[in-house]
Amino acid sequence: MTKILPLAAFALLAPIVLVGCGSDGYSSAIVYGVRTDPLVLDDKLGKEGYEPDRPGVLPILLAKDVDNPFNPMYEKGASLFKDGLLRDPTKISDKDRRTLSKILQAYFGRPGEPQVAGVDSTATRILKLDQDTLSAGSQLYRLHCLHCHGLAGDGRGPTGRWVNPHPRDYRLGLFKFTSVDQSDVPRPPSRGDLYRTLQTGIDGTAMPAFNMLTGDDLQNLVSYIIHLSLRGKVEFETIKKAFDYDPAKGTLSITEDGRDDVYNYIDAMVSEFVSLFAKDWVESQTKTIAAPSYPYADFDKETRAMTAELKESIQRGQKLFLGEGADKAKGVMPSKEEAKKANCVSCHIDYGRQARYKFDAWGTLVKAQNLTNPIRRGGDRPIDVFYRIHSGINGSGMVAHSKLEPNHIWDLVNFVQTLPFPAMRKAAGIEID
Amino acid sequence: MGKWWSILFGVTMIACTLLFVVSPFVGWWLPEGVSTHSWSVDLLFYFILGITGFFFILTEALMCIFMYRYCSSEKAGRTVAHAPGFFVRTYNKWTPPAIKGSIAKVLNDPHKIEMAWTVLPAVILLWIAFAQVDAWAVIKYQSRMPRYAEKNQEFTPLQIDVTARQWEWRIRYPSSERFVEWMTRKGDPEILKDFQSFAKIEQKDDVKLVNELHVWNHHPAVLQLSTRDVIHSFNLPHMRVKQDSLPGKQIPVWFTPIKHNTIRLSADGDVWIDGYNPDTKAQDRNQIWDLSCAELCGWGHYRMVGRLYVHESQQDFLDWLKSVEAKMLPPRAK
Repeated sequence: MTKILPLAAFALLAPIVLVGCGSDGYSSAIVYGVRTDPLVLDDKLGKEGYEPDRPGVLPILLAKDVDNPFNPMYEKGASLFKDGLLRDPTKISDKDRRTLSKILQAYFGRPGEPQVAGVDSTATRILKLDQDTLSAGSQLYRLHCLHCHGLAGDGRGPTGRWVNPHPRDYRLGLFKFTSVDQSDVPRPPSRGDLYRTLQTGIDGTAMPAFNMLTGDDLQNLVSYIIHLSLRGKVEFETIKKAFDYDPAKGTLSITEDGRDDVYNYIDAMVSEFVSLFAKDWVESQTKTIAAPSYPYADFDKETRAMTAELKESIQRGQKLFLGEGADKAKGVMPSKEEAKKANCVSCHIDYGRQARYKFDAWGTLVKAQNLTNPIRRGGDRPIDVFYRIHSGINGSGMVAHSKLEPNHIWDLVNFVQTLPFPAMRKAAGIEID
Repeated sequence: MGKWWSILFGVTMIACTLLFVVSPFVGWWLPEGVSTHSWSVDLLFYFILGITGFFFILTEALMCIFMYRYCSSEKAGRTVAHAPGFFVRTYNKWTPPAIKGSIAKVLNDPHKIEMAWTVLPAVILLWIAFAQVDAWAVIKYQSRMPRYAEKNQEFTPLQIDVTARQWEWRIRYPSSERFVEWMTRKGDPEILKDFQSFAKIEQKDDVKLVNELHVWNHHPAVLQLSTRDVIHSFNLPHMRVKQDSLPGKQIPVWFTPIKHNTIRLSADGDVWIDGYNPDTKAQDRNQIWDLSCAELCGWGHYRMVGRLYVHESQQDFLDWLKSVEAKMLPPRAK
């Protein structure tokens, strides 16, 4: 017995000593599963206004989470599913689930061998969705992103639940910080936007900067994120469209059209969605918001003080923010209609210091930013703030304000950029207390 | 059997020592020290390494010799137990009887020896404690750190705010205009106030970057170190700077580089690259200087790495700062 002990000890230690040896990629045995967490179809999910702070708990991981009294959705509970605000994909029958999984796998491959089939070559080229790029991206993703953003980009990685705000779930195809014109419909971001987010990180959240990776690595990651987002969105829309919910039985069954030939029905739908959403992504690459040039000087060249025009702009920005206008625009006073269009204070109550929690598109409680804090998650360049005001923040409840006059958006930018700095507020002659 | 253990330990010891001797020649040693105080840190390091290394090898060697000499053996009337049969057979067959072990003497009350091994290390330790004060004072004493230049002082240091968070270094520079004022206007109480407020008060035109620490050659840089979450440790191995950053505290750190590693790619472009070796005038992997975290701060600790860029001159640094600022500006009509 004593002679075996050293061997046994070595056998026990070997996994610890040898850990980390092996390839960076996923094993080919790993597949993307069909989602099991409920689809959020609406944002009127329950009690708003306060956030039950529950570290380590995601808003809704499984359908039964709404039965937890601490969940803000508890109030509406099971009726959320009956009324179609949430949809529980675990109600799909095993057979249909296997079919769906097989079809999705045919289009998107596995984490180890990712691909996007069913899109034309132009889209593949523009979005860089070729297999080499994607598999390079998937290796990097496994190393740097997986633990928070999860295997399928669902924002439900093991560490994800511990950070607030929770990591982004790509499966809605919605990304918050973009330079793409979202004034008519929500659009996916451009590759440049994702690249910039990776490079600078998101200050004020747990998303760190990855600017020490090479540019090629970041481009590969961007491609893989597009792949995950496309897959997730196709899955989401297919579960939404191809299945009917039966409130009496509580089951999700294939809609009437597809009952004869389930496989081909779902396959045709997935194929249609893939090319449709890929087209959206391609379109986004050229739909940058046309921001007019910034009309103000930073300061007076001679006196080094704030110019009178800039001061006026900041004050006008405050009026717009508060929704205060006159019948006729004059000086710092915008017109009533313009002020009504802006009216930021309706969500950013007390400049965001007393903002209330609301549900976002992912079913998470979020609140309008406290703008007296200098951290701007989407970037603190004036142009970043311009984009946020012009096109809103997808999914978050911050709506697009593209109907505002561009110069009024610049006024708001100037005001918002002045807000966190008491000395500048004083110089600009604005009062916020 | 005990003899084979002592031989195994002895061989391992010799292998370790050899590895240690070889490592400087294959690049496993301290990186090149390129700050004004790096020689004093290195001197202390080598000195302590010499003392501890000497005694370590001495004690380990004695231990192996004693184990060899006084191990359990048949001669001492003991049996070899708990060893695989193969080793026992080999031992019995190949070990000459003359060295199969002898019995150790028991020392009673060896006061003199005990005094010696207590007092000698104590003296050495005390001596090190006093000898290192100068180096420590220069590097760490806040009262000796470079500060805003009074009229008789030569220059004002560069001041940068470094905030650690899980898992990156967020770095804040003064705007180029403010920077020029710091550098050119000496002994001005207004500028003094502004200089001192930098670390505490954020301003709109501050230049903010992540993981990129820029300074320039032959000029002291004072970094105001803080953390947003847990304890991190700011480590610039090439500058021989290491300082924990503690929640709720702002701790200044300083160094003066004596070598640069960053050049502008083209005279009017806005791309600067590091990894440039001014001695050979070529790119050199050893000239890429990491800014790393030296305190286990969470699962992402391994990736909390930034870069240190040392520009050749103040003008080059200023050009770089202006180029970053230009990228932050809103689009303007030409």
